Formats: sequence, C-alpha cells, structure tokens
Amino acid sequence: MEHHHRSSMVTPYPDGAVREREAPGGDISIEELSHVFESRDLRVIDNLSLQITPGSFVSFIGPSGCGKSTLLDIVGGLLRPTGGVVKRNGAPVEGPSEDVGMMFQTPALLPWRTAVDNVLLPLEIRGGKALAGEYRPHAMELLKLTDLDDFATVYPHELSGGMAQRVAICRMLITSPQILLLDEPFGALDELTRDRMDLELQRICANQEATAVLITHAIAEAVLLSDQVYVLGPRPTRVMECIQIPFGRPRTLETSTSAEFGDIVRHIRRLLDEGEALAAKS
Amino acid sequence: MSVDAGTRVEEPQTSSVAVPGTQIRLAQRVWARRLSAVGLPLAVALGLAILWQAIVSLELVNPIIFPSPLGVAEEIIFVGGNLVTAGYILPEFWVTVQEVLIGFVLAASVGFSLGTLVGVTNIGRRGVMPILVSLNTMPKVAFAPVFIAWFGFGATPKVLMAMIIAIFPVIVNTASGLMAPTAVELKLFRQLRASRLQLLWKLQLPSALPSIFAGLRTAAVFSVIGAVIGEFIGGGSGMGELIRVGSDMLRMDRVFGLIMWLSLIGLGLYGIVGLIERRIVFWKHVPTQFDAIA
Repeated sequence: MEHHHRSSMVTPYPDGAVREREAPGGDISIEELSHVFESRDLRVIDNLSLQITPGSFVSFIGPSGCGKSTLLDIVGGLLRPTGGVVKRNGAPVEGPSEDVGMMFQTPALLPWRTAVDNVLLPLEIRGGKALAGEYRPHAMELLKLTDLDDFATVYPHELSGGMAQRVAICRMLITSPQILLLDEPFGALDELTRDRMDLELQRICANQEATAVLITHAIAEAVLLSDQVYVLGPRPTRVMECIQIPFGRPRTLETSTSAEFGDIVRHIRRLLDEGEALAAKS
Repeated sequence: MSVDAGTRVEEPQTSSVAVPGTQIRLAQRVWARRLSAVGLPLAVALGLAILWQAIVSLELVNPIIFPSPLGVAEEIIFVGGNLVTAGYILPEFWVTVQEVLIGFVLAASVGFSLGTLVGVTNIGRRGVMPILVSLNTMPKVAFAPVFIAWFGFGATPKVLMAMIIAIFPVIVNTASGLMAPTAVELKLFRQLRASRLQLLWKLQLPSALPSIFAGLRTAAVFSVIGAVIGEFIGGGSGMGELIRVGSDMLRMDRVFGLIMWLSLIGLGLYGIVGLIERRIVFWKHVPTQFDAIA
C-alpha cells in the first residue's frame, strides 16, 4: 500500500479555530453486500466484499447497468441494502451523512442561486441562512481552490459544464466530508475538459485527505486517478479483480502515455470484455 | 470566461481590431436584420389589407356585414378617441377591465392553491386531480347562463366566468411545475437530508415558478375571454355588451374597432405578468408577444 505525501488539511471554522486531521478520513467496509430490487425482482449486487483504506482513491469500473451506481448509493446511505452490510469507520451506515459528500453525473446546481450560494446549500439546509453565512469565507476558499473565485456571484446558466461541475465539487467539500462518492461526474464533459477536471480532482483530493470512491466508464480516468481499480462484473455484480495502480503521485497526463499505463488499461479492458462474454453466454 | 451554449447572443461580436469600416457594416447588418424582421410582417399585413379593401370595393361580399379596412381603421380611431376623452365607451371599458382583473386574481390564487395541493400531496394528486380533469373537459362557456341564473345580471357572473376559464392552466401548470425537479436534484436533497418542507421551499417551488408563470400568462388571456362571454350572455355593461349591441345593429366596423381595443386588455395583462415574470424568474428566458419576430 503506497503512502502518499499530502499536505495536512486545515479546516477553518467560523470561530477562527482550526482543526487538523490527525489521520485521513473514512474507511469503508463492504461486507457480503447484495441488493435486490424487489419491485422488479432484479438482483443487482451479489455478495460483494471489499475494504477501502482511509485516504485512498478507489475506482469502480464495470459495464453499464451492472449496479455501480446502486453500490455507491448504498455506501452513501441513500439505499438500504437487502443483504450484507456497509460500514463507515466501523459503524454500519444508517443513512446519508455530512461526513459523506456526493457528486452526480450532472452538477444539479439550483439555477436561481449564485455559485457561492449553491456551494453553501448543504449548510443552509443544516442550519439556515445564519449558518451558511458563517461559512461564506470557507466557500470562497473552496471556489478559489477550483479557480472560480471570480465567478462566485455568477448564476449557473452563465457557467460552462466544466465550471458547473467545479461548483458542485465545492458544494460537496463545504462540510469537509471524510468520504467522497463520485458517480461519473465528468461523463457529460468533452474530453479536453475531462482531462483537466481529472487533474483538478487529483489535486483537490490530495488537498482534502479524504477517501474517494469514483465510478467511471473511462478506464484511463480510473487508472490515472486511483490507488486501486475494482473491475466489476455484469449484473448481478461482484468484484472481478482489484488492480493495484503502481504509479507515484502527483500523476500527470504524461503518466497516462507510459507503456505500463497502457498495459493496465488493456488488462482492464480484457477483463471487462470477458465479463460481458460470460454474461452473454449465461 | 466561457459562455454557456444556452445563452442567447443578441449582438454580433465586434472585432478587436477597430476597423471603422467593418464596424459600420456590422451595425448596418444588425439594423437591416431588425428592419426586415418588423418590415416583412408589416409588408404582408399591408398586402392583405389591400386585398381586403379590394374585396369590399368590388362588392364581392355583402358590404352591410363585411366592413372595409378603412372603415375599421376609422372606428378604431373613434373608439380610441372616445376612451381618451372619457366618452361613453370608457366606463364600459373600465367595467370589463375590472372583471378581468378580479377574475384573474381569483384564478391565480385559487388555482395556485389547488395546484399546490395536487402537486404536493398524495390525496391531491390521486383524489382531487381526476375530478379537476373531468371538470376541465366540460365546456365551461356553458356555465355562463348558470351563473347568471344564480347571481343575476351584475358583474359577479362575469367575474366567475373569467375565473373558471382561467383557473385550469394555473392549476395544471402549478402541479406539473412542482413535480418538475429531476431525479438527480431530488437525490441531492435527500443526500443533504433536507426536510419535506425544505424540499418544497428550496427546490420544488422555485423549480415550479417558470411553469406557474406560463400558466398565469395563459390565464391572463383566458380571463378576458371569460369576462367577454359573460358579458355577451349576461349583458348590462362592458365591452362585450357593446360588441353584442353593435353586432345586433350590424355595425360591423364598430364591432371590429371595439374588438381591437378589447384585445388591449388581454395584451396588457399578459405583458404585466410577463414583466413580473422576467424579474422573478430571472434564470429563464420569458417569451414575449414579439418573440416570433426576434
């Protein structure tokens, strides 16, 4: 297991106190997880078990409809699994939590709120406009981190797709979550923007010292960003293989052009093809 | 700063190199486009008016019942002058305006309440909406004589007519607007552990505003229709009454003139709602009557 050199994260609190993370956040334990959609009699997850070390970056990659999003929803507490258990920091997941931040395929920014007000939305829901106001400097810090500080008072319809997703990243980070769950956040973006966003995500995760779980269809993205890549089989899904990614950090687009990188991508692609072939036969 | 693809670009981009000739030509092109946008329909209208005048002058239709464009123009000026100088038409105009406004406000408030009930609650959606849908299929104009029988010949039946015709778009648009949030937005709010009330106030209602206002704009136009139908059948006073009497006397040019000025009430209310909408629903482009031209 690689140890990455990361700057320790400093969280500014409204009263000026500062909290330093002693240890990176959130370990996730998935134990014999299975899930069946009763209404459709559909088994999507079949006896899946894995451990995610705190502070690591992990990707799930698998064919469409295999249950990756369902898995993420369960880890995030949005769905109660029909079998098995998911634990966060040793405790079983009861429901959504402020310690977990999520990003979705679309930014889902509220068009009637400015960028900074969108970032503050989680706090406004938690404690009203008063609480949100206290965290405004923190929100501006996050926007600065993603190069959007000039756009704080801009409305979503004036932002490009990539910028909107960056605002969504800030919104995810405003509660300083220990676990980041990312459901294909860059799927809707063009390739150039996507590459930039991948590097940005790497930078942000290094800064935040959180555990990150990414779902993606892009093999190269998974290999570039992750410590481990879990290749999932077709529905009902289970882990086909866990691939350890050997490259040091920070990784760049140069890393993705190396021969070893290409080998790993090819290997994953072969696994996915095998999985599809097996599914087609059964 | 990049511009979202959805933003409308109204002006062509001026070149960074200030070449006076190019800039003048660009400006000319903008004005040429605007001119043709307004000029073309005007030209077509003028052509049609000439055709109309020809039909009347050649007596291809009975001149008693089919007015000429010049005759109508004269009457439009007459009615306008009468209104401005507080002649006998003004109080009738004012009566209709009041009926429309009160009917519209009632349709908006009751419609919004019912729409919220239907859009937000289960019993509303499953119990009340089917009843409203069946009521909507009834020809509401048929209620005019009913209201007159119940409420007499005053303004009340006309206000009620305006209301029941205008209310349905408000109900339907409010309900559908409240159900508009996407699955991802709902997921976000669930993940943020928002309460039911927070969901309604912070997500559903703002999401519903564009749809609600679209319903209100339709209701504005429908209110006029309802009021006028009430006046046709109930009589007494109002622009509808004047139109009816004018038709009875076969003064068709007068009738057309009155209709033109009556339309202003609907247009005016539509415009006011649109103005308010533009301020409140600032994130969406609101269509105007002139959007067909732009």
